[in-house]
Amino acid sequence: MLRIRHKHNVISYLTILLVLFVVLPQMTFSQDFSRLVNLEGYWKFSIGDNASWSDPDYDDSHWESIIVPKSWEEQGFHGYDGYAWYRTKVLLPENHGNASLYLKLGYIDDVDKVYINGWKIGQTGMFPPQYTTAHNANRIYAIPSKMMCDDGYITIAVKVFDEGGEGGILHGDIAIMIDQSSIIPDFDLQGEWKFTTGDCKGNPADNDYNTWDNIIVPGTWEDQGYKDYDGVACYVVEFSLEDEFLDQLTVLLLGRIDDLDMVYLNGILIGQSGDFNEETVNSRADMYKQLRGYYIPEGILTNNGKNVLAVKVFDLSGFGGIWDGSVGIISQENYIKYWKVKRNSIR
Amino acid sequence: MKSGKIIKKRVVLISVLSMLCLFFSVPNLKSENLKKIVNLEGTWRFSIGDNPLWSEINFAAKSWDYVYIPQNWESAGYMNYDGFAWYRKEFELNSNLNQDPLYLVLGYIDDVDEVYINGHLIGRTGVFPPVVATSFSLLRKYYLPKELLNENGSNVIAVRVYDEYQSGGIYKGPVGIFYDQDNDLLVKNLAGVWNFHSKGNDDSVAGSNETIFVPGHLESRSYYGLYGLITYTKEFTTDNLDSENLMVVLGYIDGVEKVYLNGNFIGTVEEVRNSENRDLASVRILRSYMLPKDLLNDGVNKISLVIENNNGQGGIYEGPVGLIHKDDLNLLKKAQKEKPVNLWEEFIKNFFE
Repeated sequence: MLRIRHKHNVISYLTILLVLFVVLPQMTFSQDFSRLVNLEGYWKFSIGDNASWSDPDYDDSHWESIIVPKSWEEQGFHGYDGYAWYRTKVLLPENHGNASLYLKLGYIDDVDKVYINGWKIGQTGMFPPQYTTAHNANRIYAIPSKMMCDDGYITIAVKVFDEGGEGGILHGDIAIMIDQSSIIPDFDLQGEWKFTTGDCKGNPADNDYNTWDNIIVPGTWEDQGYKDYDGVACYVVEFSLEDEFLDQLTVLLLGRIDDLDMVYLNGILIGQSGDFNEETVNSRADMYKQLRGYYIPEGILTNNGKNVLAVKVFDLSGFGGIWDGSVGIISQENYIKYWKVKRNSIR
Repeated sequence: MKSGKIIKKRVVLISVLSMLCLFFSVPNLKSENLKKIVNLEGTWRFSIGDNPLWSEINFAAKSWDYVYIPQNWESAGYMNYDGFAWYRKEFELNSNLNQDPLYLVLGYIDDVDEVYINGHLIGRTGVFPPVVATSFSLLRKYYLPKELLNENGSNVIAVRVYDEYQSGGIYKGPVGIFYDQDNDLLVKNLAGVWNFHSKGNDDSVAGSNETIFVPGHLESRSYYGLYGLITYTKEFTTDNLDSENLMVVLGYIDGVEKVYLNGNFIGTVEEVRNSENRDLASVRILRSYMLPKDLLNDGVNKISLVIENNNGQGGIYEGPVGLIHKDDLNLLKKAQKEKPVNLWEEFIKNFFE
């Protein structure tokens, strides 16, 4: 995460000091997490790899049980490198309301992909053949509300690849967290979007985006196969809406974006966080953690088939992309309510 | 995302300094002799969000917050909020206002605003989304047409604001209804609605014919980044004026102008330069031109002003504008005009504000 280019000089040490005293405290800036479900303990486990293992209805009763978090080497799979899956099923308490949920999986050696009720919610590192380890990344995945089942149960399936040495979900906090301070969209847009690097001219949605890669939003692109990529990248997602959204004023929530963004909805530029250049990034040093809320002009959303949302992102350096929630559409009424509550909690 | 921020922190200071340079680029003399008629600093109703209905006179803002103005909305509890918000204020008038023209001054607004009086749009400064242009360092001074006011009863001001980044809202005063007392020195006040023609540098652009309230910064008259040729014209009537001791005063102009009266050239900023103001930038020189004998008609006259290479900034950005006696012009100058501004003092003042 921390890249020191000039070793053994004063700047390096100053940089480290800056990280400790300036950057780190900011990492806790907005979320107000509390633990909803503790997931430490026995999970179902199998070495190997099979796409059907992400299915919530898959019968894993014949699988081994192993402790999470702890390496699989310490639990009878000594010397095993390669693919393995973890599964567990939990009942969520009913009192979490609509608040945003996050899945914490701690540190995984080396690469993982996570499914909730069969939906992919995120990936960290890259599986072979473009293998990239992410053993030093603490996993926190947003759980989109649309992936919840009515019965309150959720099935978590984690595909892991270990290249060598210790493998599996090694250590850290393993839990489902609830973010009390988060803003909850009325229509959730978190999940799989289309993605490409490079400057797609004009509105990204004017390209043949169906041929692009898939990416999970929110999540940095570095964690999803675009390590060390800086510059412009484009996101597109399609969605259909109920009539209720057309009768009211709405706001598009795009979570937090590193660094700058330009937003097109159904072909119309509805907002941007500044011109795409170094000067803007430098003069707006806090932009990457600013919650994006774009007011949707009346008459742009449609219930007639699909809506197309396209976001162009410029990242100057370090991590990039739509990296943190909430992402979705909220009625202006609820948006105002959210900010009023926040105001009163400060005062 | 983290390592990049280290570099960002280091350049913040430089960025802040370069942003402060903006204070110098926008003419801001505060030299007008403004008198407050109605104080509007105090408690206003406030809501984040954006809704065209909120401009309307009869809208009931019952559920809205109370906030003190002037103050940025972060200080009023809306920490980290960027986007649209509206302010509304109801105020009573109980006597006719004799002064004219009146200005609704809304202090300084971060970044963009649009102002309604009793449901009527009276002005806009900066550019709203999707591509925002800020005018955070420009004093909002809108012409307040009397026919829109209810001079014996209640009135409603509604201000639509957009903030793009960090501090937002009506963050600095003064806020109120003002009258420029310098107008009292004029024999003929030419402040008011002028015809306005603009044409970009590109000759293929046809240009546009519109009206504009003079004086006022182009940016606060809904013209943002207007380059190229601009022309102001106004017809006015005079009756038996002794033109011998009269001068034409056109306030403060950002750009190099040519002025014509009834078709005759009467001056540019170069004619206005003298031993007293030779060191000043033209933007800070009070424009006053000799009125050639027998040029003024009894009846209808036409004054026009051409700026050839408008720099995208102010135009006739500050008054007074009209005909004035030579002696009174000297009074005007002595009062507070053409003072060289100490840039360092301005810088420090703006920095701490």
